[in-house]
Amino acid sequence: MSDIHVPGTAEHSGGLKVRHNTMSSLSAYRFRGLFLLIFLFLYPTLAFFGPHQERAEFYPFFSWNLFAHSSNSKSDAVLLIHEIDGRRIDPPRTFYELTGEFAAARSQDIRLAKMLDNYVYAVLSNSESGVQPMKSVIENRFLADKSDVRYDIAVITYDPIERYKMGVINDVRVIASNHKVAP
Amino acid sequence: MTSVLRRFRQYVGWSFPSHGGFQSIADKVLQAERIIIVYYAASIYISAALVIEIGALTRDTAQGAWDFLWPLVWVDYFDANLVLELLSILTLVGALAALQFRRYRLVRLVFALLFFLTATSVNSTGGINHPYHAWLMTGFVFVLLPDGRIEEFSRASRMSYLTVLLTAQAMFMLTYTMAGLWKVVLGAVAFLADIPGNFSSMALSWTIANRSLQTGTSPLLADFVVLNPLVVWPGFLAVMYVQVFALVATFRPRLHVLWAYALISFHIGTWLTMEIIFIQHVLLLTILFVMSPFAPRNEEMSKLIRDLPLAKVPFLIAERMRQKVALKARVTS
Repeated sequence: MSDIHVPGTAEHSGGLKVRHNTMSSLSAYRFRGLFLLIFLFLYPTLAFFGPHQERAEFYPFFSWNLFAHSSNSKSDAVLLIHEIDGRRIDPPRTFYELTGEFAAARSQDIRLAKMLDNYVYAVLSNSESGVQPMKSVIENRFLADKSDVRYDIAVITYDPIERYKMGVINDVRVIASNHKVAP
Repeated sequence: MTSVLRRFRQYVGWSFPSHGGFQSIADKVLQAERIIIVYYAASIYISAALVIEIGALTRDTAQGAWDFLWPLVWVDYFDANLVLELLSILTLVGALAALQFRRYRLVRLVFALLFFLTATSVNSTGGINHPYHAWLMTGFVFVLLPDGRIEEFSRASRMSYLTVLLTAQAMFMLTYTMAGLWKVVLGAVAFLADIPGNFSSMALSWTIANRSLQTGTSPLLADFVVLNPLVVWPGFLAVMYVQVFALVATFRPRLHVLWAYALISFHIGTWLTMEIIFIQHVLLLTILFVMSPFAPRNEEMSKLIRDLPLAKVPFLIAERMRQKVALKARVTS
């Protein structure tokens, strides 16, 4: 794609060399122009139709569906903690509320929230192979601070403003109940 | 191919200002090389920050607690934490090499690949975050830059150089356009179904409240936005406009600087209302668009306004109405 210098041609046929270089760099320029158009078409195609392999996206392509859905009724996959090291949490609290218990809750690591969406999808599509690695990450990374935790993966439904102001949750649907025990 | 390009240019309103011929292109290429230098210099900082991030991740993550994405599945066969730390340090070295030897494609390619693997590792602990996606794609696009000293480039090589830069700009703005289209399409679907959605005056308030609830954050302006939906609604509509037409703005160089600052303001806004800031995007907007070699200097404001997407619509409607009135007057007389 760069200028091609043909060895041995410069001394004997300088004019030919110049013509050859100009032609090759001109076709390289055309290739790059074409690449621009192909890329603009290919990126969204791969983002939407690439092999997702039970994940929300085909990394490193992404559909850029970020906070695109506003509504007065939202559903969210959450980690509901019932018990920590034999101590009951009553009523159960969501993971991110327990900043005093878990470092990842203190740092508000959004990767857990995103993974829970994938977890729910894997459970609902009966994909045991999809669930196990995520369960391992939840217990060994996000719940790593405690050795014994009883928790649910649940989908909660709420009006964002009502919940923001008064903490109202309209519906809780438990997807999976798990117990992390020390190895 | 030329005809395809020409049609594409006409379709998006591609109107690169043409002051001067050869000299202008030579100047633009010099400016473009400055952008490449700043990109790789900034990559050093971003890679160094990744070294720290990977260090913290490996401290907090046991061997079995990684959920490796496809580019890193091979790491499971080794001491994962050691491999990832080494990769991050190699990426930093790669960024230094890419700055120093930026005129060699192989060096740029090695940096892009190393950055790809390191960015993959921070996304292998559960869900995928997106701050590095555009930086990574830019690195891969820059691999296509012509090699060699730009002072010795032919005109076609200079045009190649600028086309690669334009591709990086277009690729980056495509991400915003996709984000904007999601909002507009889902908003339109809700509007047609007569249910609350993105075009409701409460839309931004719902989104901000929901985000705060998801991870328990308390951003500086979250309360204000949630409690004053009508005040912030125009801002949300403006965000949709700027995002949807980001790709179009790429091909209208007069809009480069304006769109860069509009999107940087959007990122500052997401920090104030959601505690999300895409620092890498702010940097890329500055490098690719505030410093854009295609943006004309000292351009007239009226030309800039005419280039705004949809700006011609009110004039077209007024003209159509004027014609109708004139026709009616002729018929009655």
